[in-house]
Parts: sequence; structure tokens; C-alpha cells
Amino acid sequence: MVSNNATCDGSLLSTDFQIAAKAFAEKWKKFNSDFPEWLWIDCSNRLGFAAHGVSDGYLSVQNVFFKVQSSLKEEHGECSSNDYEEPFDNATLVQSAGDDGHRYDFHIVYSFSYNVPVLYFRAHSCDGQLLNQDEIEKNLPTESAKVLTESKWTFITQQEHPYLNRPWYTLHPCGTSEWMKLLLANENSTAENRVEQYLISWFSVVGQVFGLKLPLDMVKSDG
Amino acid sequence: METEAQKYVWDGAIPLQIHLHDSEVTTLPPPSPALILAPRIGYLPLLSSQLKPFFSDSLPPGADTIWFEYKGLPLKWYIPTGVLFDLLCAEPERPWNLTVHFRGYPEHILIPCDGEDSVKWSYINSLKEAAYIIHGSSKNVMNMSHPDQVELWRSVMNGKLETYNRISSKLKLGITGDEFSGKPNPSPLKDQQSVNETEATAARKASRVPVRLYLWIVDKDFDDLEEAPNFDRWDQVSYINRPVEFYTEGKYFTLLDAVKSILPEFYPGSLNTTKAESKDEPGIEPENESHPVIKLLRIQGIEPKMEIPFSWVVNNLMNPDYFLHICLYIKAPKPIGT
Amino acid sequence: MASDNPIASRKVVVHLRATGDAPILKQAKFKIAGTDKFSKVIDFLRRQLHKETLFVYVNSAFSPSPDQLVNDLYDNFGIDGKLVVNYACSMAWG
Repeated sequence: MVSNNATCDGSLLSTDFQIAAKAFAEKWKKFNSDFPEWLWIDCSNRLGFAAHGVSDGYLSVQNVFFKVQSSLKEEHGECSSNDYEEPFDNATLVQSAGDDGHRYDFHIVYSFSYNVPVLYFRAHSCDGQLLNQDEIEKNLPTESAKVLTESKWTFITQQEHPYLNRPWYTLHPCGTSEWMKLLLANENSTAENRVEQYLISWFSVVGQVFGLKLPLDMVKSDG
Repeated sequence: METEAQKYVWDGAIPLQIHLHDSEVTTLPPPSPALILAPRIGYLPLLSSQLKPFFSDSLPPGADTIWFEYKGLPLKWYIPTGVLFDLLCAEPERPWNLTVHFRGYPEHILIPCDGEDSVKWSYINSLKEAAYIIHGSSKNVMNMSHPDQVELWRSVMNGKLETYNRISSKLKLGITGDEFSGKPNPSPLKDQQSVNETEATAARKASRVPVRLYLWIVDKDFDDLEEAPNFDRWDQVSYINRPVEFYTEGKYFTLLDAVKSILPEFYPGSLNTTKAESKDEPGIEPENESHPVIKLLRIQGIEPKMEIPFSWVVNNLMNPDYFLHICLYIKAPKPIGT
Repeated sequence: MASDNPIASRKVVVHLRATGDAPILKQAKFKIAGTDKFSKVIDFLRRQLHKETLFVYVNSAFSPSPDQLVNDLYDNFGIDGKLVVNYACSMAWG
């Protein structure tokens, strides 16, 4: 069941979040089979009480590998023609464990304040050490790294993970509903479509922060 | 305009007795503890400028990053000091004995803190979130002029209520109405999220109130607050950041109604749930055995009656970030499978 | 680069459409090599509008990654011989 008034203003109802999450995870699996799967982590029981029809949880993908092309290591390919150090704007994603890979965990958590999904993430090196913000910045495409420098406090910051009670990195959500409104403006889609499409559209923007690309088939497939 | 209660909240302070952690003491005799009054609405790292001179001579060499602990629990600096006190001291301890560290920041437990700037932005981001909840947009906060932003932050830091009221009133974040009726279906209200005035006034006037709830579920009963068990891990506290929604007309909306709307798990299937207060025990039905009981609800150091209008609580007891921070101890049967 | 492959050498008509309070361009349609990346469209818009922060999206559905090929976008989302690209001046983050 999908609520009728969902998503017209760019927000997503809390009750629709799980529906949107499932649709996203299924399509991701179908079109991104090289990547780890997104899994729904059920937290309905987190207060230690059997929930009474209250579904609560988040979407999680773990161990997404970013191959680090560090300037200290030998250059891969011949693309670097500049004599200054090139930022890592071409972090590539592979599923299997690379030698110098950084592993990212991404969680999509619903924000009851903003009524939109929020991305939380953390990263660790192959020896399990959590990366700090400077190290993460080096994995980001040039564009994101630039925004990060310009907006130190309003783009990526550490916040408490709403379910895990620990500091995680997060992307600030206060602009989300505004651009989601634009991405949901397609008159031809039904309310149900919009809910199922919601996280796909959302991830097309959020993923760019990390240089993650959605296959066009995944974007298109609702039509 | 300020209310009497708001003045009390802003003037509220907790006497702290702060000890430097043994591992960081390099002098003999060790430094005596620092006695300091910490504003309820303030944040612990802001005490740094007062504490550092006091302990700096005793510290080992190295860079300073201040953090605090209480009985082994590292304190989250982004929670207002008064809220930490209400939450962690079921039986108020005066002075409150805290341990300060300048070394070995527990970065896996606490969000890093680079001094006042971190605290300021944590406050501003919280204010933005509150604005979004109330208006459906954070624009009023984001478009605040830089001088206003600085002055607002200083007023919070220095406890200047008049300045705070003057500047914060420009943000138009007031929560109106004194009597509310519960919203039958706890789902986000679209009309509130739109900044579109005509849309909002056409619908029944509804309000979303920013609430941060710190919930401690106790599985054993206690009659005396002194017997209340202590925390040693943050995992024992459930933090619930969820707005409360209600209509500003119609049926009277109480503090209990607000708690129920945040914790529907504890109030299965009804809005006319039986008494949740432990004080009046008569008439408990057998099935209530498994029902949670509110042992303690504390906001700004007081324990308001559950029947008072929620609007009064919000307008008088909220923090300067426009969030109402509620500390709640609930006695509930032992969780299954934990 | 000339190529004898018709797809590779194809030019795509891009129609730039303003949404919200974004300024409308004098020339809203232009041709671009299909082998170009989408970032070229974004850079063009930035230069024309003198704005660094733009939100650029396609088909009211998604925001293409800058390294997506214009050809791929056209093949999937082109309508009536052109690729409609919307832009708004809102910021994604903040």
C-alpha cells in the first residue's frame, strides 16, 4: 500500500520508506550484480519490545571497494599528463578485494525530521582501520572534494548514527526534498511509481558524491 | 517575549566538580578538582577556556582535545549539559562529579570536537533541523545574516536570553496555540511541509514539534531514584529523534499524548491507553503487567505532570535549538533476545 | 575525431530547459558530440549562467553522473530527436 500524497513535495512518508527501499534493493541486485547487495536491516525490535505493526529499519550495503590510486603508488594507465599531483577523481569500484582498496559501508536511513532518506557511511582500509575525513576526501571525485572544502560544516560531517549510536559520516539532508521534488515531477508517473522510483532518483544524486554511477537501465526500468 | 519558565531554564546551571583523569596527572600533589557552574543550555566543551588554565600545568606534553566522562561513560558533547545531567543522574548529584580528559579522545564513541566551531555548527545544524520540522524548510536559518548568526550563537553561549529572543524571533519558529488535539494517524503532514501559506492555512492547523527523546529502558523495578541503575554504555540509551505532530485545535493534547505518539510501540493500538504513571497503582489489570511504566520523565530538571498541555511544555522548556529534549526512564520487561 | 561508425560520430541535440528560478538561456538548443561526457553539458551551463552550483537532471527522474556518455543518455532518454536536460539553481547540499 502506498499513500497517495507521497512524494509530491519531494519528501517520502516514513511508511513508504521500506517499500521504496525494497524496490531499490531489488533493482540494484538486478542491474548491479557485480556489486554487493543492499540489505534491509530490521530494527523494529530495537526498543526491546515487540513492535506493533511499526516497521523500523534501514538499508545497508557493506564492503563496497574503492581502489585507491594513490600518487605514491605507481600510476595506473597513462592518463595523468599533469605534472602536479592529480586528485583521485577516478576512484574505481570493484567488488573483489584489491590490495589497496578502501572498503565503504553505506546505510540509507530515514530521517523523521526531514522526511527524506539520509546517507550514512564509513570507510576502512584493508587492515580494518577506520578512515578519517582527510583520507575519505582523497577517495572522493574532485567535484565532491571541492564542495567539502568549501562547505566544511554543511556537506559531509560526522553525526551519530541513529541506530548504531556511533559516529558515522553523513550527507546533510536539508536540501534533499528540494531536488527530489524536481526528480519526481514526472506527470506520467503514479504515486506508486514515485515511491518505487524514489530511492533510485535519490541515489543518482547521492552516489555522485562518491563517483558511484547508476546503470541507465536501472533508472529507466520503471517506464 | 520571555516567560518566567524560560528565564529559569536559561538561568539554570549545574554545579560541577571536575577532576582531571589520573592518567593525565603528571604533578604531585595532583591538581585539586575544579568547581564550576555549567549552564543547563550549554555544552561541555565550552567550559574548556575555564578548565584549561586550571589543569594545564599538570598535563603531559601533547595536543589538547577536551572530553568528559561520568563514571566511565564518555559524555556526548553535542547533548546540552542539562540534558546529560537529567539523563545520567536519576538522583541528582550535587556537585556533579565529572572527569575531564585532554588526551586520548575516544573517536569511535564520540563525534570529534574541534572546539567552539564544532559546537557552534552542531547547534546551527540542530536549529536548521528544527526549522525544517516546524516550517518544512531550513531557509530561515540558512539565510540568516552572518552577524545575526554570530550574535545568536553568542547569546546561547553566554546565556543572554533577551538577545536570543530578539534574534530568534526573526526565524519565526514559534509554536502557536495552547490547546491541541492529537492527530489520529501519526504520519507526516504534507501540508506542514510546504512553505506555501495558502496551502497551510487551508488545511487544519497542524504543528510539528522538534523532540529529542532519550530513553532508558530499565528491566528491574526501583522505588527510590538512588537505586536506579547506572549507565556504563551509550547502547543502553535509545535515542529517538522524532517530531511530535498534533492539531492546534480541538482535543486537549497532553505531554502523555506526545510521549505515546513517539513511542507507539509501548502503547499498542490505542490513544486512550491506561495510565502510564507509576504513582497511582490501583486498578492495574493483569495484562498491564507486561506494559511499560514510565518511572521518570524529566525535562530541564523538572518532572512535569503527564497531564499538562504539551504546548506549554514546548514553549517553556525547549532548548535554544528549538528542540524539546525529554529524558525518559521506562520500566519494561526484559527485552527478548538481547 | 572522425569515425566511420555512424553512432560514434553522431551529434546529439541537447535541449536545455530551466526550472524554478533558473535563468533561461538565449540559445537553449545546441549540438554536442555523442561521444562527449555529460560533464561537458554541465560545464557549458555553468559558464553560461556564471553559477557553480547547479542541479542538472534528465527526464524528471535522475541526475546523470558527469562521466556518463551523451550517446548513452540519448539512447535511453532521447525524445523526438533530442535529449532534454533540465537545470535548476538549487544546491544539492547545505
